[in-house]
Amino acid sequence: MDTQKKSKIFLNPLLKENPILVLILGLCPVLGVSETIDKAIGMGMAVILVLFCTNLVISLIRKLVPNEVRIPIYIVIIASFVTMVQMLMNAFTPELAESLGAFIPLITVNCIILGRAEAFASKNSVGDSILDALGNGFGFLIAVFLVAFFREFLATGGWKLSNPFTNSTIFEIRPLADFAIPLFGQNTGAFLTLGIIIGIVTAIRMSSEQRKTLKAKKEVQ
Amino acid sequence: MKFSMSPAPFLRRKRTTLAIMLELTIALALVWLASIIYYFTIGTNHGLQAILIGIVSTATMMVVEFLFYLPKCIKDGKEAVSKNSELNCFKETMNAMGYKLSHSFGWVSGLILALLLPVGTPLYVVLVSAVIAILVGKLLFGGFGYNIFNPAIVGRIFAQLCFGTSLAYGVEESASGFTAFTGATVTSQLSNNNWMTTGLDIDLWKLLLGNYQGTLGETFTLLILVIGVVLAIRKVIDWKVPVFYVGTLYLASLISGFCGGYGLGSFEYALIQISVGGIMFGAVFCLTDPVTNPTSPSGKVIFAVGAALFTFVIRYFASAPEGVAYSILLMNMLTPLIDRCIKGFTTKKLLPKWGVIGGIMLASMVLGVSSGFVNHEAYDVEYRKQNEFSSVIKKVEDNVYHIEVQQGEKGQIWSKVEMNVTLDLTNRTVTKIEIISYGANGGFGDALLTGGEIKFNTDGDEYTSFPKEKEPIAMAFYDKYIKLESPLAFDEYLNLYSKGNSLSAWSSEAKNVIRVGATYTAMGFIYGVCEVINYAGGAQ
Repeated sequence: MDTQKKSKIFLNPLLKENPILVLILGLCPVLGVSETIDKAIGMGMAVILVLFCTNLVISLIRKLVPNEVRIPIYIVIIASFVTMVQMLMNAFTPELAESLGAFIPLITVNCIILGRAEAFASKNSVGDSILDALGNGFGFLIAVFLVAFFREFLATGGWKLSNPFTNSTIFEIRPLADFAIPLFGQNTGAFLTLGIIIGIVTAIRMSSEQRKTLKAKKEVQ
Repeated sequence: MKFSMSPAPFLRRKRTTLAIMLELTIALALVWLASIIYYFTIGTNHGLQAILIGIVSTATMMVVEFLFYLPKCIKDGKEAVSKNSELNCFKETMNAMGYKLSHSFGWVSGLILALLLPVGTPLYVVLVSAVIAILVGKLLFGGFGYNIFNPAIVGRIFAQLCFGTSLAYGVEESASGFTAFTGATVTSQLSNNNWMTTGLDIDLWKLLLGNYQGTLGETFTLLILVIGVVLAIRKVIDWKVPVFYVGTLYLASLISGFCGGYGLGSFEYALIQISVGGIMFGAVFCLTDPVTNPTSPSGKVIFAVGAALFTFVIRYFASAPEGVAYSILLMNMLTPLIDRCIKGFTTKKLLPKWGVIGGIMLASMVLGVSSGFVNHEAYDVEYRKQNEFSSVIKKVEDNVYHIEVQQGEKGQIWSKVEMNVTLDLTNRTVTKIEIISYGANGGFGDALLTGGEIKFNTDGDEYTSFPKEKEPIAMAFYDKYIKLESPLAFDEYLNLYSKGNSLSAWSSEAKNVIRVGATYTAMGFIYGVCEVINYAGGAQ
């Protein structure tokens, strides 16, 4: 029972309660960095790291923090970890840090991170909080990667993946480069792609829920 | 006795929506046919392309609708079978699908989109635009009757935004036969000339008969006019929308013409304004789409006048040469607002209602007046947007083109070049560049000036002299690209220009070619030659 509960904490945010695709939280970085899969993965990793550290620390100090000033304290903790991540990225992955630009410091105000701190880490044990952070972080990574996957393909006709530490290309395929639709590399394309993906996910979710209620009704009868 | 009640409406006309839409389809097919015939007279491949664009666009929309409705229709078919087991599931599904498709009218949007695209459009562009048009523009909003925007216009603007550079704008006779070329439609020529018809070879009859470059459907102004009248009489379209749309545009252009100093020529000027580009086609076929129109008659008038205003503003004050599509989308967006504002006004309170319409008409007149003055001034100082080059090309004789290039900020010309360019289209080389005049305000222009190589006019500007020996790079540039001791290949120019048409990008590149900051005039030359090459159909 306990392991089931624990696995639920980790698995639920991946798809069923995905922060981006289902809860529609923290869309700004998804729209901003989903231009290429390189940037998407870099951003996803940064968010996972920050979320992991902040959830860990906030759940450690959850009994010390007075309720009245909890938000400023969370923000300070989040901001310090974001600054650390930014410095690390500037040092080890300078090209990636440059291409992500303002979106790294903006992780501070990402709703997912403050949301998880407020809704989960401040009320649950350290172990659970870490699981929750990983689940939500990877949920974010999955969503942003999904959007970037389609956007890069439509905008450039293929994909390119490079090693952020050495900035060398791991692989690059552009089979449909002649038929690229540059609009999908711009903001309009970001909104369009994200909207359609969220629409499809919602449609699937609703139909499965409908099926479940039908099943439940039949069982009752 | 059993009473059966059918759903409202109880008073029915004999004509169904389907019948009305079929009449519209016939009208669109006529325009399509006219364009096919026109393009066949130019060349068989262009005629075939015109047919293919129509077929691809229409077929794509129908297929997307089919796939979109398939799950629901299968469900309907299964349900029908579960109620009556004698029925055939496949047959029932197809019945449901037939009903859905024939009441969704995807082919109308398909035909309109095809007629809004130029003949040189690659077929995959047509396909992608059609998918976006029908899926994003219509089906995701809930299908026919629920769409906010005109689907065909959505597709057209998508194509414009995504593939603007690859939309070849039509065909023209050039030395190497008929070729598709980008850019210089009558509309964009006019736009580059600040909508002044002076100095351009524009014949009203040519415009009316459709014998010029444009998209497939928009050029046959006279035919569209006749079809529009017939459709309006048969009440397929509401006469108010096109009449008020074209009327407002005509009025605004007329006033603009008077203020621009055309005198009595303004009438012809205004007539040219409304017969060029997609105005007529948009007015008859796109603007009248009943789904995206306000419901009340006065709402329709406000809708039409507003669209005319947006078209006017976009044409005269923005850098886009064609404002029709954008204005239709903008007004589609405002339709619910108009409906809400007009509600309750229709029976009583006639005064405020007509006050609103009158106010908008008045605004259009004021706009016309102001644009007339602005235009006049603009023509005097000859400027376009900062850092953007503009040009006017005229064909002098075979293979010789006269081009005027200008670039700068308001009231200040940074670069102005006038020259005759002689091309050799078979060998793809530029054989001769004859400079008529160029601006020299420091930099490259002066370097040429003091080199004593060519005649010049400086418009009385003060300038600092650079002796020839101090500008060896500039002179080498001049010798290579302009003086032309031997013919130079097109690609040399096109490659140089493809460094990017933003000046800063070119400037940093040009450090190796000529000295820093001396690039405006030099770039004017290169831009001009490239424009001529494009115009003559030499770009590949």
